[in-house]
Amino acid sequence: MLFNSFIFAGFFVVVLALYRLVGHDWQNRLLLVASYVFYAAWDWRFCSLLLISTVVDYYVGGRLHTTDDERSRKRLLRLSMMTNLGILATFKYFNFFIDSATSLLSSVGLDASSPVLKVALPVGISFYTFQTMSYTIDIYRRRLEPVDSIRDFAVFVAYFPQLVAGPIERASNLLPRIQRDRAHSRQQDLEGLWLMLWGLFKKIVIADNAAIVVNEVFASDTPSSGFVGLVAVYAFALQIYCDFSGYSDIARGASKLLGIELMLNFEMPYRSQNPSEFWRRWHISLSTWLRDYLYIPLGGNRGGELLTYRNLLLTMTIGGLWHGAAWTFVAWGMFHGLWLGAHRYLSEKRPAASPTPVLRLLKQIGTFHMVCVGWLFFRAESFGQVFNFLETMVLDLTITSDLGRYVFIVVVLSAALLLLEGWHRSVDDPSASLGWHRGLGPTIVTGLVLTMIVLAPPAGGQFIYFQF
Amino acid sequence: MKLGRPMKPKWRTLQWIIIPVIMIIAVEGVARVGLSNYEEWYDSSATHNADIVFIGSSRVASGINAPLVSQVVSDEVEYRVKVTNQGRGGSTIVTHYLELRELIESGRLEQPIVLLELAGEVPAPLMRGTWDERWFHPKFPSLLARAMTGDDVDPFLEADHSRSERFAVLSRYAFNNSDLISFKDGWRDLFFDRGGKATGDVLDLFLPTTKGDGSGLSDAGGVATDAAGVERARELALERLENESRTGVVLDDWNATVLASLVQLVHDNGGRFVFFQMPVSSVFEIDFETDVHKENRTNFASSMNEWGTPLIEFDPGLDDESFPDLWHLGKDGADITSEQLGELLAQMIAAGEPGLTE
Repeated sequence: MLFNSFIFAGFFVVVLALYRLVGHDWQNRLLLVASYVFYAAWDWRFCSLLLISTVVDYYVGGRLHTTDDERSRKRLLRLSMMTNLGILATFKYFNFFIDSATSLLSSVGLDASSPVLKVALPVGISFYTFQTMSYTIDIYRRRLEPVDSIRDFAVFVAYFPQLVAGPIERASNLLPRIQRDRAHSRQQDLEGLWLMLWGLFKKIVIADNAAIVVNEVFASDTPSSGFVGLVAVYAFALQIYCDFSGYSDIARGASKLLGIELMLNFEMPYRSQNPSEFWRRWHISLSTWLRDYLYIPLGGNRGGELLTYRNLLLTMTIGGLWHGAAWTFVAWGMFHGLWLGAHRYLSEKRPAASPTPVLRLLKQIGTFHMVCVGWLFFRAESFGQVFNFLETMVLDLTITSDLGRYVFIVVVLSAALLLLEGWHRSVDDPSASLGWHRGLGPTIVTGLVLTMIVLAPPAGGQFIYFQF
Repeated sequence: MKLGRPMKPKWRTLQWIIIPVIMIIAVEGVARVGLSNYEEWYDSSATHNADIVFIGSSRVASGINAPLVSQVVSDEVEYRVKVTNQGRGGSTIVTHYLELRELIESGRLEQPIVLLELAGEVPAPLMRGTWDERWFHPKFPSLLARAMTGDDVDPFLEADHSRSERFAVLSRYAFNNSDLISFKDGWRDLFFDRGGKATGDVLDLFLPTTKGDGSGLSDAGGVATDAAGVERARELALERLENESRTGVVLDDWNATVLASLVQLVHDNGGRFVFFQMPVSSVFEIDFETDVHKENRTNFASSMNEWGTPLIEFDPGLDDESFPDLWHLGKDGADITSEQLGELLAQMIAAGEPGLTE
């Protein structure tokens, strides 16, 4: 049930209508049923995974709180970690590790037949397992008290607006909002509707059309020229940002209509001036999760310079693997780990003075292009394709007949994004200002809807992050 | 940021009706002026009173030079023969059936000779479906929607389509009177194609194109002629070679196909249905050696016999060099094919082949 489908629209309207008719207690019951229906629409069998995570972590959370014995507490935490990471390892990484081991054995001349798990990847598995792990870890650290109601906890794990692609909410943020009464206001509704419209526009118009360039060029191992390769990487930067932030906006908008605020997941990341800032603006819920539950427990920056670099590299590499079971994702994570380390090293050696506007722009352009190098690893099917693209970009700067079309698509979509995001940022609250500007609100909303009708590709794509 | 004074409540509500209506009317107007001639497939001026109609896939679109066929046939039979090429990428036998039915029933096409391509003496997969199977290519729902009438809705719903496919077609069909909706896919193509060409021209001012397509392909019927498109098409074709498990379905009952209905439609209205062998590259010729294909060829030959439909076979002597993307004929190959086909067609007409006389 994709957010950009009419089935979801119908589902959400029915859920919202019922939701507004009942009191808080029934609202949570309805959310729980709706969330499981939503997940069952992908594959009902995987609801059992949600249920296992929910029951185990609810039980572990409760016991952790009442147990003072450190050994028992560690055992309980291990149970939660093993359950969630076990689910992840089995369903997401089993084939990857087996294939890698088989390849390794083959490369040293050993013949190994590999078992293959023929199971589809449960959608959103990385998101909800990380979300429930944060609950038990926070209780273990005594930063959170367990929830009394298993129903409320089940809603926290399965909450449908953010179930399959985040934001990865912390229990300390989302659980209280599930537990307390929700108030609805016209302003809140307008904000929610606006976020959903804006997210749909980013997905349908920008991401899905950028995907046409990306899919055409990446279908070949080598682009027809370096410029075509470069434009395709720009297109992918556009696609992945609008696809993922579009999803997040729809999730936040839908949740706002249900009276539950979700955290901001993107903060104009391509305006970043360095990798550190990029990760404070990109997929904020994951980067803060990795910081709090991986980087800091590894020692963070408390163990000296070398250990800090090691921790950065390890955290980002694991972050890369979180995205997908492929070595190209691992390389993408390592690339960011190395880049963050290099940035840290240079910043410490030569603390930056406040940059001039020109220098700031140059830094933004430089950072964007480094991010794009990373996207090449992220999008490529193989390392061979990465190197072919890089080689062609350096050695074959010819203009091919297809370049004009690709440049046009990327320029038009980028301009639309810049213009609308610029406007978005210039007003305190776009949904509120829509009502006040003389004619501006209906003009923008009608313009967005008409553009979606006219420019939506015939077969709209799935959200990229669902596969993670 | 707030602009101007707050509006009166009445206007605040009314603006959400008035402005969208004005914008929709404006965009619809632009679509009618700017897009009315965009989709030339089964364009009325091209098909009106045509004597010979070529139908089929993008292979036909790029491989048949209709004016050349017209010239060759007209010279031989000594009267002007109007030829139109309605081959198109993404078209199916159902979309051709519905378009031809409309032309014949409205009297705009009288006793035509309709020619359908064969590959290895059997219709291509998109040209051999039954009424129970999917009616359209998933990327081209508009082609079907614009050809449908109210009577087609029920059979369409009974055929094997997913929910989203039904929605894609019926939502377009419901707004067939709106160019904004029914040319929805045309909007995108037009916007990106024209914008892309203009951008290419601008780029040429600074950095001339050093690596053109050089393909000699015609862009008719949705054939990609850009360098990446040609390269991708070649790769796809070559991937077929590596795929050893060539699967296919043996079709026993050709009378149950939409093609049989189309042959019947043309014959019932005094026209003539003719098949012709479309040249293909060696990548596709290997398909013809499979057992499934051989069985289909035998079955289809007996159906052609039963229907009384002639098959024009000829060998224009082309090799893979004539197929720049391995799928479609380049312009030179198309001219050779069209000339030979025109001559054979003229001979059939001159010899008084039933239904092919003046």
